[in-house]
Amino acid sequence: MWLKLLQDSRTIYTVILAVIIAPFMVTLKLPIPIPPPVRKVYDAVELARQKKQPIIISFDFDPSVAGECKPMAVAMVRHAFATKTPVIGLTFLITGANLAQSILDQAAKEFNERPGGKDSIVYGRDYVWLGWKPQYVQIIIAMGHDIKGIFKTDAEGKSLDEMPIFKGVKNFDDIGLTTTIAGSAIPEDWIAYTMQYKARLAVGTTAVSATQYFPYMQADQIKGVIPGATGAAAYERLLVDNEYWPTFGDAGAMANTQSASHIVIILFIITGNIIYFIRKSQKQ
Amino acid sequence: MKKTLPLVLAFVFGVIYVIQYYVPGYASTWLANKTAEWGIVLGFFIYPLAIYSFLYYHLIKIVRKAPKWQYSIITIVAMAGMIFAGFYVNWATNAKSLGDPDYIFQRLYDYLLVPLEATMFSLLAFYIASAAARAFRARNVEATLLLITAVVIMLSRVTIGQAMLAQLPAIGDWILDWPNTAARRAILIGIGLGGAATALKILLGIERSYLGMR
Repeated sequence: MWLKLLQDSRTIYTVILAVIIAPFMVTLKLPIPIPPPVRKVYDAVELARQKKQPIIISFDFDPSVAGECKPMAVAMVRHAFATKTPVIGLTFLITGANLAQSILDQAAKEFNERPGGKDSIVYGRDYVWLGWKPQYVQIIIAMGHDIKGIFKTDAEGKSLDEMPIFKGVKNFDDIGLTTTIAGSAIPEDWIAYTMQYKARLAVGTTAVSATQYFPYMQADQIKGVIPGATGAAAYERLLVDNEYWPTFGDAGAMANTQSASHIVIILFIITGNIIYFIRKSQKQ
Repeated sequence: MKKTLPLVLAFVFGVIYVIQYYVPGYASTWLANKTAEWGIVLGFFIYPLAIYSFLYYHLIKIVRKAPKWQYSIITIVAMAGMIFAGFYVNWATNAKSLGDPDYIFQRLYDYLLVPLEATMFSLLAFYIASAAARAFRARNVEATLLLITAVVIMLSRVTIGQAMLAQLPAIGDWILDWPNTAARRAILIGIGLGGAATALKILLGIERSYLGMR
């Protein structure tokens, strides 16, 4: 009976629900490790700052994976704004457009509302929102030749020629780093179609998809990878350690929940195997 | 003509991109950019077609009172509502532009679409836990190796792993950097070769299944 109860879906679901919720109610500060792929993305943004080049962030995710992808997008935008590195935002996923725009606008608002920070982040100078366009493969190829040629205006229809952020920017040669944050296969296309331009590329993705980008990183086709919420938490730690941002964000808060849920899933696997071997010996 | 023209178009536009890749001069770049612009324009024609198929499918279901036809009404109302809200930026609010939190479309997006999609995806946590408990068994040597690797990776990726054993993140990184990357690279090479062969077959008109032909 006990063995059956342990394997029952209702038991598993109840334990998982409790384990996901409980860590949010207790303060447990565990050290957040910084994986080398995350450090490389951070360093690439720093390099763009030194070169005084803008970065592109392609917010290629929608609400379904926002839990993992939004914290890394927020952390990268905060990093860029804190270092006065201009951000060119766009998306190739229509259901992610509103989410992406609100991330940029919210981050700009946060910086402008800080003491002495009024007008520190200005639209058109420090960031721009290009919105969504279909047929992203053609767009990526065209961006390699002339970004303003294919986009012409921002999402609101304002001409890019009048914006200081695009001064001296023609194509990927003038971009410090292009980051695609996605829960789908869009980064694969970013890698494939920006290779010919030797664009400096980084990928932020869900933990489950992250491993597929490691070969590209080893071959230096991408500069780094932010893997899931733990990667985002590591990025947040880098911002806190370097005093770019005072506190951890959503990913930092999720770290304990992830730890607890991983431990419980491992316990489920162990329990399941014990039950399996007990039943096997009983049959024999 | 009906069969030949699409094949000719696929060949011509495919070759334009091949040329701009290998001979990136002014003319080939200009041509590729123009093709991209046309691609975007053509891309928008997909949406009326998609809306037509969507409405056709659901209206037929409602008219025929097919099983669960009531959900089709909700689906059509939801789509019509989002389109209507999208066109009326200032409708019933003081919103000035897209992305304004007062914009009715933004509200529907923030308070309906975001939680709905997040909820659907969150269910994965429960299914993964249930699947792990029921199916992840050390039945043989290979399965045991997979199981041990999975446990090490799961622990090495979270904060408690480092607290338990300081070397765990490094062990996890090694597994990801070497065995995992070697396997991924082999798969990627296979995909690359397959993709190149398929692309060539499409350009030369050998592969026609994308046109519904054999």
